[in-house]
Amino acid sequence: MISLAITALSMTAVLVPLVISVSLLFRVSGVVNFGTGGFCVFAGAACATWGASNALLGVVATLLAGAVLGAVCYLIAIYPAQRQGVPAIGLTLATLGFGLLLTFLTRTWFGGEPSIVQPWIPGSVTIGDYQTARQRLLVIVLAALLVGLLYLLFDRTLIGRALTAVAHDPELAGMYGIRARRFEVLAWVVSGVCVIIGGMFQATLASVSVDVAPTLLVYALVGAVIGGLGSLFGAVGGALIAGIGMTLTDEYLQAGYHLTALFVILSLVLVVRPQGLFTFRGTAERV
Amino acid sequence: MSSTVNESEADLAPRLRRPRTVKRGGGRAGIPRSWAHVVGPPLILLVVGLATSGNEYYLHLATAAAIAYILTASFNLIYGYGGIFNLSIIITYGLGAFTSVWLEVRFGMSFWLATLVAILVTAALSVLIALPSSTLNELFLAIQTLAFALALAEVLSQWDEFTGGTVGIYLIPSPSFFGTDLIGGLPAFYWLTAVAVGLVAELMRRIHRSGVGRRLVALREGPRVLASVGVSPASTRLLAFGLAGAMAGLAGVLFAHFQMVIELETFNFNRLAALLLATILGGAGFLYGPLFGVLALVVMDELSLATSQAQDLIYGIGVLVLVLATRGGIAGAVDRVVRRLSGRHRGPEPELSEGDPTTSIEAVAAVPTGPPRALEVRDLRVAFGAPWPSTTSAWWCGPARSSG
Repeated sequence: MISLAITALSMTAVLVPLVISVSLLFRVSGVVNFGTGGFCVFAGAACATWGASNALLGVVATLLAGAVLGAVCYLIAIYPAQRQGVPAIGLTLATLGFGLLLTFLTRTWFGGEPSIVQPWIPGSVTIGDYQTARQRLLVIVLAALLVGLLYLLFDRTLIGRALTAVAHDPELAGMYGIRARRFEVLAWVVSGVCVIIGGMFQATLASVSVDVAPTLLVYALVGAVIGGLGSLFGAVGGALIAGIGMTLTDEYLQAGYHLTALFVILSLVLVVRPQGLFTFRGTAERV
Repeated sequence: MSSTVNESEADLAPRLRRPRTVKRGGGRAGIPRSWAHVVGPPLILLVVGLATSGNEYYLHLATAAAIAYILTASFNLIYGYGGIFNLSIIITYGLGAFTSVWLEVRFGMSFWLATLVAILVTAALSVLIALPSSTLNELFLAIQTLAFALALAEVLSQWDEFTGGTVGIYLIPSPSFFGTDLIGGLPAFYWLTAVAVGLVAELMRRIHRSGVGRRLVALREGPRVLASVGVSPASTRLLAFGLAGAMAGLAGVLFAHFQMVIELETFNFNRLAALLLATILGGAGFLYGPLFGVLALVVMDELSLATSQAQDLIYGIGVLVLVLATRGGIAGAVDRVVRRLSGRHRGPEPELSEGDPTTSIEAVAAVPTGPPRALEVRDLRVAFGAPWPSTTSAWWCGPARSSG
């Protein structure tokens, strides 16, 4: 039982940053980021390469790269298209294009082979009669910290309020003196950092290669949709449901059917509650 | 002073008018055009076939491009015309390939029967995808169909007998036609593909000209319009899914017998990106969009071969540039040039019969670019579902405010 819980939680921990990133962008820019998979794979490979000698240096460098990539993605793929009035599906395609470019960068800079990041805390612990890697627990704790941090940022600071305002109505927010464009860039930076964190988590627990980019993308998208694209709370809930669903499928039905399980959950949610399982009147209003 | 102005006006007016009356003179200009649409595709296929039959590599390229045309036409039908961003088309394509091969190897069916069954299977699968997703907007539909495509690929990869797992299926039997073996990569197989492409092109032309095409475009632009003239948007949607699924299945069958070796990896995300690129770069919603798209893709693939292994880079840049720079893709640009040369600025689809009630909607809807248009409605209120004049409300919609 405890092994199941830890597996599900660590899977959730990987998904949470990805889902938050997708739903943040959807909220602020109205874009579903189809480049998420490319970001993740880039993160895994970059962290493995740059952190080969010094893990901390690698993590910091990768996080910075994520922030830059998020901003660059907005500036070259989204902003010009938005100015031309390209519809949402076109913006989505643009993110897909950016993801392909990132895949290309990953391939040329780091080689295409699967990359594994060495655990940040080596060794394992035994809880009851279940033994697990310390890294797994660390990832869960870090994910929880990240959620707490983002909650503080979005909900308890003026920055978060301004971001909410921009997400609702950029023009009106502009009238109140908020520079909407800057906050949109900020959202992309935060989202880029989140995706990168998710990619690094995945690379420390398993491995990341160019081929799994679409799979990670679907994890993130499905998690975001089943939780509801509106809020941080929804994102965490969606990631949790996805993580639990995949773990239970592995345990009780058949191993290796993660995507199928997710598709079934997604279809059920879209039929029963298309706005997302965790979208309520109170939470839908927040970024 | 005033008399000179009047004179110059009198001089100018006929000159302004004359070209229009000449160009519009009768329906004569229309007849050769529509004949060109009928005869064009087979002629192109014939010329390409004869030109490439000597060179193995070019023949290979031509056959691959012909198959890619069918797949792209299928996506153009559902996305370009119908506005349904159905990403599961890629696995429909794969399923067509595997189904036909499985039927032949396992049950000893002939190629022709297996093709028919595979097309029926893929059409049915496509309709099945359409059923639960009917209420979703395009982004959610994209997510659901993408999830479906990956999930089905996951399931199929576990079914070793059907897909050969990660290894793939080898030794695919070649179709035979009255004793002649049509072996993939040889001229005979090209002609088989050419016949299929000709049929698909003719089907697309007929759809483009007929009410079905207009219904699909109306589905893209505003399903409520369809419902308000008594056409069910739901069944139009199912039709789009079914037709697109059947065409993707056909492309898959041909692809499998052309390659003679298939594996699931072939029908992956990159192939999907290539398909999107071909459709949108070529011109989504244009009759000749897929043709231009496939040509562009062949050029890009050759480029990436020449620059070795940079397919991701070229596709990525291609997608970014086309989102930014092109409206209506290559076919849209060609269409604009043709219309400018022929002096026509209205009516994007000259084939439409005049006086058709949907013409004006179509005319506004089918051209994303061109001179800015605005629709202003004033003094309108809705009572019991029907518009009545009033003095209280006004709408305006035009390029500046429509967000798509």
